[in-house]
Amino acid sequence: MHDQRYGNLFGLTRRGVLKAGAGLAAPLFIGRAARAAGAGGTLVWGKSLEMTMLDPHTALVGSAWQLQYLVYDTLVTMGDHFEVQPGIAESWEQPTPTSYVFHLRDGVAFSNGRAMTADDVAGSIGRVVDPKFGSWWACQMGSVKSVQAVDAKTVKIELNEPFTPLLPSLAASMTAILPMKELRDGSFNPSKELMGTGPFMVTAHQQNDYWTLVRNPHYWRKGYPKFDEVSVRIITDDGARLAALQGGAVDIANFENPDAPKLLQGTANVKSAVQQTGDLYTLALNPVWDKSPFRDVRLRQAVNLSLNREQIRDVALSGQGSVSAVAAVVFKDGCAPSVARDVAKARELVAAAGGLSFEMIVQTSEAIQRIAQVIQQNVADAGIKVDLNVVDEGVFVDKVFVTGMFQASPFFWSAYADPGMVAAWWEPSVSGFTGKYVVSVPELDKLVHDERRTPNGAERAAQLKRICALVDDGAQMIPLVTKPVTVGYRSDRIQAEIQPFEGYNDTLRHIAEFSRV
Amino acid sequence: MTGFLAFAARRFAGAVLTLFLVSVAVFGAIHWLPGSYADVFLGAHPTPQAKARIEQTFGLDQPLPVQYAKWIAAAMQGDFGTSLVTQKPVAEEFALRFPVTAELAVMATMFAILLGIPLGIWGGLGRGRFIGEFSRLCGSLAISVPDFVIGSVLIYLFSRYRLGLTVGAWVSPTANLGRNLLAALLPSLTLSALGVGFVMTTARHATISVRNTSWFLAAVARGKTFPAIVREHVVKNAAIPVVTVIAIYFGYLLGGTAIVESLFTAPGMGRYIVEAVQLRDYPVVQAGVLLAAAVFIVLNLGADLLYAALDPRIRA
Repeated sequence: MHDQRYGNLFGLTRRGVLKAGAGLAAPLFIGRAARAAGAGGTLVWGKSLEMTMLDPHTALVGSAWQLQYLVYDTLVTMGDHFEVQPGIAESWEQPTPTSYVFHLRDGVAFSNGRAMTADDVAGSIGRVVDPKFGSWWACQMGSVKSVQAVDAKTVKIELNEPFTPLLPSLAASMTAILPMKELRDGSFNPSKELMGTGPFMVTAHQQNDYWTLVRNPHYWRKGYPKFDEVSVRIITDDGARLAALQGGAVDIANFENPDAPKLLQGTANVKSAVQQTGDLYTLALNPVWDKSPFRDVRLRQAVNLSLNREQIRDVALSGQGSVSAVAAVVFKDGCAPSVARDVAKARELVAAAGGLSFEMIVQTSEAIQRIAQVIQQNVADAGIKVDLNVVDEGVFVDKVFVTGMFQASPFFWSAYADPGMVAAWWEPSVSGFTGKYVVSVPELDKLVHDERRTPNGAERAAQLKRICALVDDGAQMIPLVTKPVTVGYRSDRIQAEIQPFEGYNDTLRHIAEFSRV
Repeated sequence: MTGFLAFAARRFAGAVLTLFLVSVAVFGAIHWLPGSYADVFLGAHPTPQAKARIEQTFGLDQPLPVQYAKWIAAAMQGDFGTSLVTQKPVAEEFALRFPVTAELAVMATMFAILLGIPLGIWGGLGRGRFIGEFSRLCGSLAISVPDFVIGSVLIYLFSRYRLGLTVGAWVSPTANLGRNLLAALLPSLTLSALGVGFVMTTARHATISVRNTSWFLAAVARGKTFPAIVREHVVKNAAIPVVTVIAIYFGYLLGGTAIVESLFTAPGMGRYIVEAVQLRDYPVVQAGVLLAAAVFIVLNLGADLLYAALDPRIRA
C-alpha cells in the first residue's frame, strides 16, 4: 500500500506550497465541480466507525468487514436475499456431503498485477482453518479436513463431516482471498495493509480520519467499478455525519442511529434505505458468575416473560428491525419468539425465587442504551429493579467477554448469512468464548451440532425451530430484535442500489455498480 | 544573579519531578483501566492463544515496571513508541494531528481576542447602562453554554439550511487553503465562545477598575478625547489581566479540543487521544498526556522565571 500523507503541514513540498497558494487565490468554492454523468469521479462515503483490524481472517467487527469488501473477494458471495452466488469461484459442485470442488474464474488478479492462482485460494482458506493461526471464524467453517489446489483453476475442500453453512460461510470477508505468495515471502503483511482482487485498492489512509481507494486496474469484472475513486471519511458522530450528507460533504453515509430514517426524511435530494440484517440484539443474563442472580433459571425466565419485544422495536429502534428468535426471521427458516409476554407469570416466578434486582452493563451505543432503558421499564412491571451502568468499550469487553463478571448486558450478535450460524454461540464447546456466560444445555448442544450437519429442508427447519424454543426457554442470551442499518445517499449526485438484506455488514455490496448521476 | 540561578534551579527540579509523577500517573492509569488492548482488540471472541500472541508482539506480557522503564527511557530520547493500532510511530501520528489542533487553537484565540477585547472594553465603559449589562450577560452566557451544545446548534443550522459551510469535510491547508479555512471556521468559532466569554469578562472588569482610578478621571478632566483615553489609558492598563487569561486559554485549547474535534470530524490531537483511550492504545495515550503536561509545565516554568526576573521579591 502506498501511504501518501494527506497534506502534512510539516512536510510541505513544492507542490504543496503551490497548491496552498492556488487555494488562496482561487474563489472560495463549496461542493464539487460538475462531472459528466455515469462512470468516473470520486464517491465520498461517510462511515461511522474506523477499521482497527486490517487482517480479514481475524477481523471481528462489521466496521472492518465493510471496508475489506472493497478490496478483497471471496470464493462465493451473497445475493440480495442471502442466496449464495458465484464470486471468485464461477461454479462449484458437491460430489459428496463432505467435499466441495470450486472452479475459479479466469482473469482474476491482485491489485499488484499478479494473477490469482488456486494456491492463493487454498492457502487463504487453509490459513483461516489452521488451528495454529487461530482465526475465530474457523468454528463457522465446520471441521475441515483439507483444502487443496487440485490444479491451476480448481480448489477442493474436504470436511470430516457435513457442514450445511459452509457455502454461506465462504462468502464472509473472514475467508477473503489473500496474495499468499507475497504473504509467505514477507512482502505483504495483512495486519498492516490491504491487497486483494476486489474492485478497489488503498492508496492512502490516516487513522480515524480517512481512507482513499482507487479503482483496481486488474479487477476481473470488466467495466467495473464505475467510480474511479472512493474517499471514505470516518465521521463517528451521527449528527455530524447527517450534516455532512445534507450539506454535501459526503455522497453516501450509513447510520445505526434508529432515528436516522426519520431525520433523513424530507431532506432535499437525499434518499434513504433501511437494510434488514439478521444481526440480533440480545439480552445476556449470566448464569455462570457466582454473584449473578441468574444462576436461577426461574429469574431468567421471569425477565424473559416480562420483556415487550414489540415495544423495544418501536420505542428503542423507532419501529425498525423485526422481533425475532435466535434463527433470525429475515432467513427463510427463521423463527419468531416462542415466549409471549406474561407479566403475571413473571411476578410469580420472581416471588417464588425470593425477589430480583440486578445490574445491567450497557455500552455507549445509542441504540443499546435505548434498548436497556425499555428493558428496565418492562421488567419494572414485574417488580424487578434494574440499575443501568453505562461503561466504555474496554470496560464492557472486560466485564462481559473477558472475565464474565456481570449480571446482565444487552449487545448484538451478527447472524451472518445462514439461520443456524449464530446459534453456535449458544453452544459453549463450539464457540469456546461464550463459556464465561453460557452454560451447556445438553439437548440444545446436540441440536446445534445436528442442524449444522443436516441439509437444508424440512428436517433442518424443524431442528432450528426446536433450537429457538430451547434458547427462549433457557433465557441465557435472549434474542430480542434484529438490527437494521440505514443508508442515506445524495440522489442528485449518485445512483446507488442498496440491497434490502445483508448478513456480513457489506452495506454497500453493489458499490462497484454505483455511478455518478 | 546567584539568587536568580538558585531560584531557577529549584523551579527546574520541581518541573522535572512533576513531569516524572505525571508519567507514572498516566502509565498506571491507562494500564489499570479494565480491558487491556488485547481484550478490546479481540472483543467478543477472545481466545487465550490470540491474546497471548498480541501481548507478546507488543511486549505487553512483561511486568508493568519493566514496560514503564523501557517506555520512559525511550521517551527521554524522543522515541514515544509505536501505536498499537496503526503500528506507526506515535511521533509521526502526532505530527499529522498537532497542526490541526494548533490551527483550531490559534483561530479560536484570534476570535477570542478580536471579539472579546472590544466587547469587554465597551461593556466596561458602559457600566450601569444597557450596554454594560448586555455585555455582562453575553459574557456569562458564552462561558456557561457547553461547547458541544454550541457546536451542535451550528452544525444543525449550517447543514439544515445549507448556509454555505459543510461539516465532515476537513481539508488540509496544503491540499486547499481556502477550503481548509472554511472547514476550520465552525469548530474554531465553537471553541472561541468560551474564550470570548473569558476575555470579555476579564476586559470588562479590568476596564471598570481603570475607570475608577484618579488618573482616568484626570484624563477626562483634561479634556482628552474618548478614543485617546481608551487607547492610552484603558487598553494599556487592562491588558495585563487580559493577556494572562489569553495565555491560559490558549494552553487549555491545546489540550482540550477533543469534543469539538469529534463533533466536526477534525483530525486533531484531542480526538485522537480520546479514541486511543477507548482502544487502549497505550503508547499514544501515554505520549499524548505526557506532552500536554510538558507544555503546561514549561509554560508555567517560563512564567515563574519571567516573574522572578522582573520582581526579585518572588525569588525569596
